[in-house]
Amino acid sequence: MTDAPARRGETLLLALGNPLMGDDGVALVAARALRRRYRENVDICESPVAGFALLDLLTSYRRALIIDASRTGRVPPGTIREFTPSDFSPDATASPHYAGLPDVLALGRTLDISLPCEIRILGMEIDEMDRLHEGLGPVAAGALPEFIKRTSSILDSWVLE
Amino acid sequence: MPTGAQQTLPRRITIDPITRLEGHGKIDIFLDAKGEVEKAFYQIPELRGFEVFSLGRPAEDMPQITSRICGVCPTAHHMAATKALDDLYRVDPPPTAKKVRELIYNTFMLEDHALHVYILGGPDFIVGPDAPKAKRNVLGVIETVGIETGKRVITMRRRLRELIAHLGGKVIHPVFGLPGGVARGVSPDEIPALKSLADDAVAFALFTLEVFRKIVLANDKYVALITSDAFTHHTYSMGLVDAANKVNFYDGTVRVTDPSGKEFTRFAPGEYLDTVAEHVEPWSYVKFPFLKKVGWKGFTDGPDSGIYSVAPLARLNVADGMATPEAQKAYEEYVATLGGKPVHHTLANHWARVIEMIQAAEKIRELAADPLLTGKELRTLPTEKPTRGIGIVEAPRGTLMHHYETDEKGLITKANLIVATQNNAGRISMSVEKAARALIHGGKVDDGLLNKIEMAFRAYDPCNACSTHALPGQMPLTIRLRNAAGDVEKVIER
Repeated sequence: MTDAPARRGETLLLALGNPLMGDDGVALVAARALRRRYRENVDICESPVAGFALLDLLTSYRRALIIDASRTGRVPPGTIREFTPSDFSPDATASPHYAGLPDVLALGRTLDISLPCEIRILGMEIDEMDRLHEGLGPVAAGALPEFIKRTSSILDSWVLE
Repeated sequence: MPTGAQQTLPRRITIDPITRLEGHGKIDIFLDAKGEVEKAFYQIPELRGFEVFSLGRPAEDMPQITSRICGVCPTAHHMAATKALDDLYRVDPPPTAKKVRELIYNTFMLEDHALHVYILGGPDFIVGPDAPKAKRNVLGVIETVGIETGKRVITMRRRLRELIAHLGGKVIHPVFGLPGGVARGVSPDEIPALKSLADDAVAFALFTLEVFRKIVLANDKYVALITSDAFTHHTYSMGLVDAANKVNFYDGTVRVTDPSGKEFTRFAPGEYLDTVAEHVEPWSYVKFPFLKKVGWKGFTDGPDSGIYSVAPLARLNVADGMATPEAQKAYEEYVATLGGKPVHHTLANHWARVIEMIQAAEKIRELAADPLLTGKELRTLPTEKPTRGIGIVEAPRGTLMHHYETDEKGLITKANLIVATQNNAGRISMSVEKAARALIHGGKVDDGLLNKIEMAFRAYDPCNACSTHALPGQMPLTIRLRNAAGDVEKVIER
C-alpha cells in the first residue's frame, strides 16, 4: 500500500479504492501492474480516500489520470468508461456537503493552488463492493487487462508525446 | 422527485470520489394512513464480513486492517486497534510511547475537525441554512470567510497531515502503533519545527473560534436555530475523560451522564459490554446501541430511554471541563451562552467541535514542550499470552470501540467494532424523525425536507465510510417513504 508518491513529477496516476473490499480495489491492482513500467516518468499513488484529500494528492502535477471502480447499475459490470471533470458539472453537487471533483478543482482555482491542467478519469463498473474480502471477482479480473491497457494508453499519450 | 435534475446525466455521478468520504446514508420514513410521519430511521450500512475477514489473522495485523476499512478516520481505527492490542497482551506502553501516540492522535483530531468545521459542515452554519442553494457549498464558505482564510485552512491541514505522515509512517494508513508502544519516536532535532507548527496550530484554532463568534454567534437567528426545539434531544451522553474528568481523545475512562448532566456510570474500556447493548429493529439489520441498565424504549429521549449520544457535544457534556487553558475558556463561554450544562442542542456540535480543535492544538503544543516526548524507551515487549483485548478512543465522530479475542497464538477468534456513528445512530434517527414530522403532512413532501434533514444529521459529522466503500455511482443519501402497509412509495436520492 502506497500513500502519496515520494517525488513530484509532471504526471500522476491516482488509483482510488480499497484493497479489503474486493472489486473496489480493482484500480489499485491495475496501478500496481503498471508501477514498474512507468517508474521513470509517472508518479503512481494508491489511495482509499478522496474528496478534499484529492487536493493534496493532485497539487503541483501537470496531468493526472484518476482510475477507480464505479457502481452505477447502468452498464454491465466490467465495462470501462472514460470521463473528464467536465462530465461532473457543479450542478451535480446535490448536497451542500457533497462536494466532488469539480468543487476540489474550483477550490484550487479560487485559492490559487496549482492543480493539473489536464485530468482524465477511467472507471470500471463493478457490481459489489460492500463486503470485506480480498481479491477480485471473476468479472473484474476478466476486465482487468483491458482496464490496464486503457490506463496505459492514456499514460503513453502523455509521457511519450 | 423534488430534485428534478437528478434524472439528467450529471446527477448520476459515476465517479465522484467524495462519496468515499461520507459513505452512503439511508433514511426510511414510515407514513401512517393519513400520510403523517409515523417513524423515521437513519441507517448506517452494516460492515459486512468484518468478523469473517478477521478470523484466523494475527492480532498484530488489526491496526493495519482496521485502518484500511475506513478512508476517513484511519488514525482513529489504528489507535483503537493498537490500544486493544495493549490490552490483549496486558502491556503498558512506556510514557514516551504514550506521548508519541497522543501527539499523533491530537494532530489527527485537529486536522479532521478543521475539515468538518470549514468544509463539510461549513455550509450549514458559515454560509447559513437560509442561504441560496448555489451558495451552500465550499466556495460559499470561502466567499464568507475570505480567500486568505481559505488558504490558511488548506495550508494548516496540509502541515498537520505532513506531521502525521512523518511521525506515523504514512498519512493515509499509519503504521506506528505496536502492542506496548510505537514503531518510532521523536528525535530532539525535530522539536523546533514541531514547536513552531504547534504555535501556528493554536493560533489557527483560536482564529477558528473567532470566525465562529463573528459569523455564527453574532447572528441572533443562528443562535435561535441552534437552541430551537427542532434540534434538541435530551439524551444520555458518553465520552472518554481523564483522571480529572476532563475531555481526553486518546485515553481514559468512559463516562456516561444522564439527561440532567449527572454521572450515570463510568467504566474501563474492558467493561463496555456491561453498559452497552445493541437493539435491532425488526425491519432492518441495523443495530442501535443503547444503555443496558436503562433499557431500549424506542426512539425517544429522556431519562427512561437508553439512547445515548457521542461526538463533540456529548464529550463536552460528560466532562467537567477541557484539559487545556484556552479550550477551557472557550468551553466556559459555550456553557454560559447555551444556558448551562448539559447542552442538548444538536447544532451546538459545531461549536463544541471548534472548542475541541483548541484543546487538540494546545495538546500538541504541550507535548512538543514535554522532555519525555523525545525519550528513547518506545516499547514494552509483550510477555503474556493473549486472550481478549478491548481498546477505546474518541474518534472525531465519537466513541470508537475495538474488541478482539484470540487463541493462545494470537490469532483472532472474535472481532467486534462499534464505530462512532453507530453509537450515535439512535439519536441521529430521532433528529431525522423530528425534521420529517415538521415537513411531511398529508403524504406531501416539502421540498425543504432534504435540507432540513441533512442539517439535522450533518451536525453529528456522520460517517458511514467504515462500512461502505464509496459507491462512486451513488448519491450519499437515499430517503425512502413507506406507506402504512410498509411498501416503499417514494424514493428521494441526493
